[in-house]
Amino acid sequence: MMHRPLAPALAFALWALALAAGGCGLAPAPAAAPDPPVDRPPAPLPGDGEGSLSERPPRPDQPFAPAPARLRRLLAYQYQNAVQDLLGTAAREASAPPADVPLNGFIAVGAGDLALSAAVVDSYEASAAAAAAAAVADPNSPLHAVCTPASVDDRACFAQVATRLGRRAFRRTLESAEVVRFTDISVAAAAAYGNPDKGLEYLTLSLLQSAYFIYIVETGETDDAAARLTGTELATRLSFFLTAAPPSDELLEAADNGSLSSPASLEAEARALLTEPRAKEALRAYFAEKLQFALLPTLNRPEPALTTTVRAQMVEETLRTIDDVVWDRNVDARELLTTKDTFVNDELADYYGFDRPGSGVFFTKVTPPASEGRAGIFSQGAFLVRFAHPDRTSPTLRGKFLREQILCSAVAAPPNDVVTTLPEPAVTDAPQTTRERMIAHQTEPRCAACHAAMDPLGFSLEHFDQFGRHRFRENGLPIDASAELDGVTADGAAEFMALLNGRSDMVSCLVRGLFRHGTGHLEEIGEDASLYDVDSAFIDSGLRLQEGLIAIVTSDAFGFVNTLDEVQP
Amino acid sequence: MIRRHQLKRRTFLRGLGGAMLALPVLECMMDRHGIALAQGIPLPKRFGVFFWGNGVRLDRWVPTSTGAGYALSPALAPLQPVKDYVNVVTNYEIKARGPRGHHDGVSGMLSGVEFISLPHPNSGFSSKFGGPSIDNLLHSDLGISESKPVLNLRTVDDIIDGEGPTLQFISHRGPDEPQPATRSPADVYTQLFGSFAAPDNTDPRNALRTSVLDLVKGDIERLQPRLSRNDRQRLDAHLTGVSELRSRILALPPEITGSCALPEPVTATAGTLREVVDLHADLLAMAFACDIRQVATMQFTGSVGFTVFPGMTAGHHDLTHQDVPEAQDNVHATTVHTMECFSSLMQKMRAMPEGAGNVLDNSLWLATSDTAEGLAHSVADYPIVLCGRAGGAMRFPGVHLRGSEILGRRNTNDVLMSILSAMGSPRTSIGSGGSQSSTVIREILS
Repeated sequence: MMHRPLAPALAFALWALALAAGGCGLAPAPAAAPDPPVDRPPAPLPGDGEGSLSERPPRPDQPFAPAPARLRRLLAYQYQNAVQDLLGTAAREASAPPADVPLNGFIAVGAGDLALSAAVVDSYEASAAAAAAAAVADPNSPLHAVCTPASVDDRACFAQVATRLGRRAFRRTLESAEVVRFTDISVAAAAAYGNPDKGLEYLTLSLLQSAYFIYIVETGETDDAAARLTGTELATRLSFFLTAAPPSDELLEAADNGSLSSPASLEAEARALLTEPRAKEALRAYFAEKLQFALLPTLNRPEPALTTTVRAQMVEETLRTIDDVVWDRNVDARELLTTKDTFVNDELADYYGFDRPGSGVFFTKVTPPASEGRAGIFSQGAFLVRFAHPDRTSPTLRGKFLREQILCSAVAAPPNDVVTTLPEPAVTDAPQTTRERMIAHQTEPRCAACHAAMDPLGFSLEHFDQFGRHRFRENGLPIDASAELDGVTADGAAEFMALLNGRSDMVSCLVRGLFRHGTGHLEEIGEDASLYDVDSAFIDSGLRLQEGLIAIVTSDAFGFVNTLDEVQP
Repeated sequence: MIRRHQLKRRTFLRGLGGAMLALPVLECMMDRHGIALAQGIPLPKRFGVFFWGNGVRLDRWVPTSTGAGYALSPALAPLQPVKDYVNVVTNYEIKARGPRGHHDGVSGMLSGVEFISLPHPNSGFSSKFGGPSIDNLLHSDLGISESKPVLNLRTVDDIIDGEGPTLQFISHRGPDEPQPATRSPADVYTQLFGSFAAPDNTDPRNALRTSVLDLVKGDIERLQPRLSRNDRQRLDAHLTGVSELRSRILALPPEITGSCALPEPVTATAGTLREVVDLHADLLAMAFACDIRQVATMQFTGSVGFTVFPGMTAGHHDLTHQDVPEAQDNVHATTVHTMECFSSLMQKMRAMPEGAGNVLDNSLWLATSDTAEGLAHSVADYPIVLCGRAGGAMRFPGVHLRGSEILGRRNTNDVLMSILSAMGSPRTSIGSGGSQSSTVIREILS
């Protein structure tokens, strides 16, 4: 049950056929994109001021065709921010939205594709009730800022609250019939309890259970294969993407007045959103998801010093690095992969064995010993611990992440029902390194077909164990961190990350990840050219991520949807 | 400390009427086996799925003898205390399979149809189930009330979420409707017994809750015509959830009678595999006895899951792929531990009296995995255990049936068909195309 237009569906089918025919390994893109050049020398490090990219494929020539409009459930943290804006901090803390479900590696894609289960409907009801009760009890809640119902049948006040809160909750102006319905439930509850506050409580919990609050609804200005989002729909998309929160009253007002229909004022509104503290939080949430840090606290890693506190500090280390590159210095985003600096506090420095910065619990920028060869966020603890086994490193898991998530290449899994029994290892008591144990992945053809696309990338990080610490030796043997990326070799993290940074597909993958997150779908062929132009603008800006975000939200792919399926046959 | 109450007169009247929710079973209505009501109305038949990830070691799984007097294999030895209730089926193969290890086993075994691939040229692989899983098929086929939804449990957190709902969840109502499971025993207690109090007719809360749900329903119905067909279907699922919640709010709490009693509150939110299974098992046995649930699933470990079993150092999936003898011995040890936990669950079902028999007499559990052997991602000779008498429909004492290969290896959909038949589903076939089956395995039915 693929709910996609025909052309991409066909392309996917062709791609799947190609995959089946070729078995494992890298799947070719369906378009006629040439393979990236493989004999290019390593690009100079970004940050040296001269970072260059491999040649880009030509601009796709398919006509613009946006993806179908789709309902998107608010992500859990977007829901919490929305509750906060609507009802205040106490309500936010009382709320407990159901967990997100990822699809194709993105919770936003799951939110735009999957249906709510019965258990999730229950969770929304419980969360709404808890948040509403907390808001009623909180004198600082915006719930009390509109009016105070004078009696259990103060319809005028309940209607005023429904109008004001409803607009913020639904990100649009309520119709009069809607206001009447919410007023009715308020009066019924207030009368049943003989308590006007109960009217406010049931009004609130009704708003929070409505589909118009739980989902982002986009129906476009017209029924068209390329329909422009309405002003408030675009304001909503923009605001949830850039700040993980609903549009403010002012932004909704501006959208209603048509201010987002001109490219210049849309850009100005987007730039204003990027100055909000929530923009930083939103990007942190995106990268924490992208790097799959959610599992980090519970992973079995038998190292007593690797406490949950240290693990949380490792996550903070990486997110601080992102803050630094994107917001504090606003420089080439590729520094994320190669920066020689990192952020630690005293406890985390002790864990790694760095010199204590003397900043106590506060994080501060330090330069780890050059002898460790750390470079960028993939040689920081959080990633290294997350992508490993309890008892050893996993070049496969690390390489698979880099291949799939950083280069956006699809790696096929081993086919089922094929006995992939490896040759028995030579009987020996001699110690081995992880790399040596994995030799069959490279020599056995059935293994190598897939593993050659993953392991040689992960080998670049073999100087870092499954606990995130540097090592010169494993089992008493010297580490071999020589790695390879599509025919080009590198030794160790710094050289390898410079290779990645020279790849134009790494740049387009970064853009596509953010686009998928912001729109809740995997880009379709008809959107490729628009996203290619986003890549171009991002590159022209010197790869500063804030400019990449602006390029995304001002693109046609972000501002249009296909609404033709809306009319029932 | 368990509170028991006298059977009330109105319960008896409702029992005759047969229309109200959460009916208790009256012992005077049992036949002498405790299997069915005297009037021929059967006791509710319960169904459960017990699932673990990453397969088994077949050389230590498959019993060496067949038929009624078969000897349990080393992996199945923990089932000795409930052996009479156990039918073991071997040499059946997943026919409804797509081209991806693990995904093919979970979806093929639990739904009977192939999973749906969600490939994309520039993204990692994901898949969804191709249709409803067997627990939801049965819930629907048996016409079980909305107020008694499938109870979805899981034992661990170490479940991968990066390859789509097929690997993350075992219960699915359809491709876009995976059903999340609950791990925390305290949360399970609340779900099952949190509203076990007598209704207070002076509190307007429940009446107002249903009014709010009616408002929610109206909003959705007004929104639907403006959306794509796909989104309308998604909102249909939302409406179903609203309707189920509404019916649970209106349902009376069960009568405290027979074996049904309000359990002591559970406060544990996590624990070892065995601890969590045992806490879930106690609550589930009582939920069955009180007839507030009829179908359950338990995701013991995840497909491609990385649970580290007691005494081990490697994650489970990683362990299965280490092709050295000591690692494969450890794989077998994890299977033994898994079967110990499953056996404990079954023993708790049997320990719950019901009429002249017990809850396991009126239950059927399917215990299975996502591969046959994790090392090879194989789906031939699938590990399948059926436990429980299903109200007398299953062979008792149980047998080991090794499927013949005369016409090629047998189809695991025959097993699903047999389950549907034993449970009283009117369905006459399952699967499609080459995987379709309308064959009931007579050797394991009574």
